[in-house]
Amino acid sequence: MTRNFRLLFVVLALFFLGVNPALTMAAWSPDVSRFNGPGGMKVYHVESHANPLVVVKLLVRGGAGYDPKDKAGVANLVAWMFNEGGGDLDSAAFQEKLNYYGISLSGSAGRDAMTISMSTLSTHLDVAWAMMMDALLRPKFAKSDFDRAVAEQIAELKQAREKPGALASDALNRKIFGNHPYGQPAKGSLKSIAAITVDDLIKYHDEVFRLPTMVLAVAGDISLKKLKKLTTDSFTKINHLPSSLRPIPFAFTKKRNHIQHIELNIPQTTISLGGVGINRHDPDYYALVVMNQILGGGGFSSRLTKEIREKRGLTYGVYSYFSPLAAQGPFVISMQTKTASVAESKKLIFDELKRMANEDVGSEELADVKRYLTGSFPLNLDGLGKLAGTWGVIGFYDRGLDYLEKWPQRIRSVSKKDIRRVARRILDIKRLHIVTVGRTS
Amino acid sequence: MRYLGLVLSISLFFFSNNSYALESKSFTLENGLQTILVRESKAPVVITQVWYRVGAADEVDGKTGLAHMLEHMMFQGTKKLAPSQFSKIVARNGGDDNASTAHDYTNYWIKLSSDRLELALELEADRMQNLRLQEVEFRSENLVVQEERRSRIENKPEAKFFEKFRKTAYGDHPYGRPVIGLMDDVKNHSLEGLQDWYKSHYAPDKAVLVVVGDIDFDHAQKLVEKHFSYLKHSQSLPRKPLPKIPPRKEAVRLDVQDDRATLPQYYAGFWVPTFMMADADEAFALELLSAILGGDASSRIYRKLVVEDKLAISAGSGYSGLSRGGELFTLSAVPGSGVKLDQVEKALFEQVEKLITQPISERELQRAKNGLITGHLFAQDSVDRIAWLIGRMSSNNSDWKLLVEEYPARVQKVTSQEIKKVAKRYLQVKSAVIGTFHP
Repeated sequence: MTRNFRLLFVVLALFFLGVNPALTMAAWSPDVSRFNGPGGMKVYHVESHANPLVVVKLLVRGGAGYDPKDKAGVANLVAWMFNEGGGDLDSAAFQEKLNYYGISLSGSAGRDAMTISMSTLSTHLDVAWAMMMDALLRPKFAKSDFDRAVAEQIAELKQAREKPGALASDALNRKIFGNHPYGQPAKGSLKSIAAITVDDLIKYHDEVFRLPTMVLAVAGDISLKKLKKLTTDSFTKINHLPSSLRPIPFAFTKKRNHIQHIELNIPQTTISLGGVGINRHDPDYYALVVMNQILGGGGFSSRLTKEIREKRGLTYGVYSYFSPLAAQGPFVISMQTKTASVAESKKLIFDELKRMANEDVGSEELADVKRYLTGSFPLNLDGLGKLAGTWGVIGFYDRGLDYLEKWPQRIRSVSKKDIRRVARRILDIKRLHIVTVGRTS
Repeated sequence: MRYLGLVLSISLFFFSNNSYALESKSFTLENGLQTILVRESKAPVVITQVWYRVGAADEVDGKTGLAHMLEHMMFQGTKKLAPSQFSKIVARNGGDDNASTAHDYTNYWIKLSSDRLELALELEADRMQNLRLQEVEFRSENLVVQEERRSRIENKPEAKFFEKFRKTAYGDHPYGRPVIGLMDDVKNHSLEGLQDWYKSHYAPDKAVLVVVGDIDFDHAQKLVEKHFSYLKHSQSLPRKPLPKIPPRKEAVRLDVQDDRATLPQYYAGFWVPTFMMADADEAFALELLSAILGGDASSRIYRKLVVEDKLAISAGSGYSGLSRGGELFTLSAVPGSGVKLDQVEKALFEQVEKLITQPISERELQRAKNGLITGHLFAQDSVDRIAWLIGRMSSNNSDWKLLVEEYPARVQKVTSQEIKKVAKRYLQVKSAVIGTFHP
């Protein structure tokens, strides 16, 4: 039991944005080198010999935002099967070899990108690298393994129906994005998964893993020279041609909002509100980081936490977050409360949204949040996985090499006026969709 | 020093029989506060963890959840600090903080930039003895905990099943109670009850302080002495040992049908010893047993039940070895569609039988060892994890070096005979607690 949850996806969302708070006195981050690999791929390298370990992140345009229409879940299945055989090894032999060397290799499908993660002891780096390349260049996609992946995904989708949080976020996402690619369920539906074949996966894999949009980020016990050699020798074999995947189209806010209730016989209701947020290049990005932190950001200091949890004990956790993706990602507020407190909680959330849009935030409040965001910078970079992940995202979204260095100054320059502007833009109550999951009364 | 040690153990990865050392310093203040400092300077951060040797297992029936309720109140003000200021001060200094309660312990942590170490120590020392429990904050925080129980347990059919499964497995043993507490008990907590709990269990001699990060030992020790040495030794009795769990003579079964459940699930639990008990050799063998039986995609249970026979959608085993009074080693499976729960039971126990009676190949044994050792080395990449292992072991008066520095060498030493022996001794149908859960 912990005092407060730290929802995993909130943490991941932070890294996805590269919200990497920076130290007040001097921005600390280990040195990074950047070079171009074959076919224009971008490579980032952070050298650290503190432990004999290497972590690799490979990002490429793809992911659930690129699932074919009516086949939602393809990207997720391709990611699931990334370690199910490659080169001369079938799934069983491949997994056995990974486990024998203690190598971790897996894929995951985000909205904009496919991410391959590999970690290994540096003594086994050559073996691990070769296996990663085999999985990229000569994946197996055996029918029996595909069937197993599908069976597991179907079970997961069925189980999601008992989870109020999953039901709420799925429904809210559909409301916010409608027919936009971000509106599809990232893991598919029972219907869409039934329509997917092995050939769809093979086609998708060929289309996605192309050099022009690839970003490789490597952190740990490996020299720049060694990384350059490995990259040049192996990635040359990957398809140099651009894929047919075009950037995700703009997502627009709906003219009017929708309210949906999903009846579930449980003692506590999940309340989720959301709308279209911003994309990764939006000039309001820094203002939104600060505004979100004041409203419902992580930790115990936000306005929503103060009003709803601290003062009234109405919830164990209330939070807000946003995902600035290639296109406009979602802005979401979510909490859980007992059935009898739903109306009161909704009103409290609305009051806070209005206050944020109509009144300036306090000077001390603003200063405190800036101190938190800039001061906690090193906490987000204190491990190899965090370093490789952060640089991978920075590269994928085309942020400069000075991104981390400039981050604190940009946060500090956000004004009260900026916060009100971004609050009016994003927190328009008439346009926020609302989903509740629980009992009516 | 640490780096060299680690490299040595790696270069001998497949045959090594050695260990490495962290840069650490331990001392105990006159008031009994046990302190362990570890220097880990790859990033300018530090984590402090205070482990109190008290948890849900020290509660009594009718007052379940008291340890956890107090954990919440530890953020609600002291003689110096107004309610709810604690986390705000930490945040203003660029830090994160949180706490957790389990059957064996209550743990508090603060992680921040290493130049702010003194602030963390000052805050922890203050609330170790100067907590101010007040009615208004307690009423509100008690409602928060009720909501926490709804979120974690009552909204989740699976979690409700696990609560019953635990009760079935442990019966009247303290481990049979839910850490968060039963809802009626949570609603009935009182300020006086919390006050008693705090007075009896929160004192320097009843805690372990762990500090891991980019620190200088002399400076850190001075800061610890400055902020903690004025605290008073407790007046209360030492912690009571846990009652023994009597050996089970026949299997117990729990079957739960729930309309809200979506998938059938099967669990078999066996009471086993842990790293914190007298014979750690058995714990190392059990950890390898779990890895070989059901630890990953190459394990026997996954290969046979999920891949080859397609009886299950997922299947595996579980063992953490981190519990003061023993724990449940589990075998579990989600049957495939049309497969009955007793079919997966039979298949799971066939794998146990096979492991006991047939050879474990050298390659299979080494694969399991490599997996555990690599996982262990990756945990060293995080100051949080290092501090956690040290605190978890030390708060039970166990030697943390066993699970940190000595771990790789100890794993390497385990033989397949030892693994078979623990499988035979502990994983018997007749001593199992079997839980089935289905729509």
